[in-house]
Amino acid sequence: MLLTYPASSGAWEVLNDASSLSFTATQQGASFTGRFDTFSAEVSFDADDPSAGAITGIVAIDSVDTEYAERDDYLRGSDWFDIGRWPEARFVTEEIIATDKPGEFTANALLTLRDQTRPVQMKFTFAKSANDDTWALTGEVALRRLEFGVGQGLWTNTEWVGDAVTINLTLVMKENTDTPPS
Amino acid sequence: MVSLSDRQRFSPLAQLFHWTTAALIVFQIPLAYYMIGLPLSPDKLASYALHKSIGLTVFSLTALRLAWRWIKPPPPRIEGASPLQHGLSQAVHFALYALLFSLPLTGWLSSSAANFPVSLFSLVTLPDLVAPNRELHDALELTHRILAYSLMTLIVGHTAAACWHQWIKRDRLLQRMLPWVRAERE
Ligand code: HEM
Ligand code: HEM
Repeated sequence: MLLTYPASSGAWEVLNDASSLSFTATQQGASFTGRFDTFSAEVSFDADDPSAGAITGIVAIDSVDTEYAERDDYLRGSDWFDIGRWPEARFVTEEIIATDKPGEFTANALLTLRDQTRPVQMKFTFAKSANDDTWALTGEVALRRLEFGVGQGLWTNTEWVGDAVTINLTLVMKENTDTPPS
Repeated sequence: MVSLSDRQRFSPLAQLFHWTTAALIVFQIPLAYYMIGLPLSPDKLASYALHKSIGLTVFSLTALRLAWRWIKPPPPRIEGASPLQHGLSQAVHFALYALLFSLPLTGWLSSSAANFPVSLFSLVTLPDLVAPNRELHDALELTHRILAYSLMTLIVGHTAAACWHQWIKRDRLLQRMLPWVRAERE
């Protein structure tokens, strides 16, 4: 489920069902993928004027899904995300800059996970779909889970659950027009 | 009398396969019960990773072993074995080979179905064989367990048969699988 924000000029309407937020982590020496099913995002972005843009997101950590219920419950618990105390993660861009390649951008952002807020960098592409009038913002954030305290106690050991985690975000969006699409 | 001729024995490579596999299995099964009893911790993940790597090693060794068995067939059947005995031993050996393949395969499948990655000693990541699926995982886990019980049962029988040949029947069958050959003392 995605929450939609009210229309604002230059803003985008994020299409819930087509968007996704996943992560790739390693355990037992190999990588696996999970996702967060519930998150909301607000995007105002103009590829011709990236520095004026902003992307913010809120993730309901409770919605973590690694396709194995016991592991999900464990991730919700106090050694990992501790959703009783910190149910949400937040992502707020501070600056968006164009790269040398057209359609590719870098966002410097602050990510809050548990009680830690830290700078992260998201590389993303912004492109129109070939099939319809939607656009896709496809981004990747590389982070270290221990910097956010994700994995306490024994789990600060990174031999069997790696420190590096990659977040992959795909926001499928429609340009917000003042006339409702009907 | 002289000892068994080489014709009547398994080749050194076949023996190496046999005893390496036997040693790995004798380690693997207690490891499995140890690991499932551990509370969730890095140690538990480490033990699972080891169990998976050893199991996959057994799988590969068995593939090589059967290829070698095809190149260099086992020695002719031992003298004095009844057709029934021979048939039984063939059946047990066939079942052992089948289990040495199906146990690692069901383990790998069940890990994939639970979205748990499988790597060989953290060196090579193996592909996921099936998409994550809870019901499938539970069925595979049960199958893996039943196959493991079958393997343990057959190993007990297989070892008992080897002992029977050695000490009751005294037909030197064990020497066919041993790297050294004792001189006859009759
Ligand atoms: C623990 C796991 C074991 C496994 C999985 C295993 C498996 C096998 C298999 C598949 C064969 C058939 C070889 C072939 O004809 O291609 C075989 C043969 C044999 N095994 Fe084992 N074995 C195990 C343990 C043992 C032990 C503990 C002993 C002795 C105490 C033993 C003694 C023998 C002997 C003597 C043969 C040769 C039989 C013959 O001459 O035809 N094995 N084993
Ligand atoms: C020769 C090979 C293998 C043998 C003899 C073996 C044996 C066993 C045994 C005895 C158990 C405990 C069964 C129980 O739950 O009561 C077990 C559990 C398990 N095995 Fe294996 N295994 C082998 C290979 C593998 C491989 C290759 C994998 C994965 C790639 C694997 C994954 C697992 C898993 C995940 C469990 C835990 C199931 C649970 O939590 O109940 N096994 N194995």
